Amino acid sequence: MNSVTGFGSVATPNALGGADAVKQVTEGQAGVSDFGQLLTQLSGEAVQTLKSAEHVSVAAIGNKISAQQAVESILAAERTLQTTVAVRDKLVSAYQEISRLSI
Amino acid sequence: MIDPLQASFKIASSGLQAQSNRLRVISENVANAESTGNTPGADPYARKTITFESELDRASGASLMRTKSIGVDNSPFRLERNPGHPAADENGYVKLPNVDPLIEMADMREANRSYQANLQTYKQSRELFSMTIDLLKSGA
Repeated sequence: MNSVTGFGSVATPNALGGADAVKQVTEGQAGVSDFGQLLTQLSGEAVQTLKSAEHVSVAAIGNKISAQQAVESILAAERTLQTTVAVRDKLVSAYQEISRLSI
Repeated sequence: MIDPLQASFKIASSGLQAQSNRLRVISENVANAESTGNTPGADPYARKTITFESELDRASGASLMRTKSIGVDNSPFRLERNPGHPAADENGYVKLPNVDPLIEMADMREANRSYQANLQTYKQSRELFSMTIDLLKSGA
């Protein structure tokens, strides 16, 4: 799988909704052989963190969990999102770099 | 995942959790400092105590902190003469809880400081983490 598209297919469209992204990742978890798979795995974990943060925020609104737990989970999601975005930006710039190569 | 920074988030949050439990017990004690029994000679509210223990987190190998138990302080109750009280015994003495506000206040201050310390650890780890991630951004 192409590194950039592999990452993008998991990270971008289904970031908060789709279950297929996570499934796709668990399939690829058996052996991390190439860079693309590594990224896919990383972004799958990111998706799960974001999802759990979403559940926790809903639970926090319903007063089901402590504020501290809610804050912790939301900050974890924030960290994950920042990491994901930073990695994505780096990848996109690498991709653009390739397209700008003079032939 | 054995990222030490991630582990320190987990550890700090276990400390926060434990200190919140401690504060809960303290507020119970303070609130019930005057709670007596209802029948003659009945025991009043007994002061609660809290103990902690360290717990190994197998995923990260870190030592987390957790509440071990919430027990009862068995020290003797205060006696106050008040014959009209429903909990007064045949001599007119009422048993009052063995809560000493001074001890509770000192304990509360300690819980407060410990919570702040854990929060500071969390804050610091967070800062280091985002500084590391920012390395990716700067060059572009």
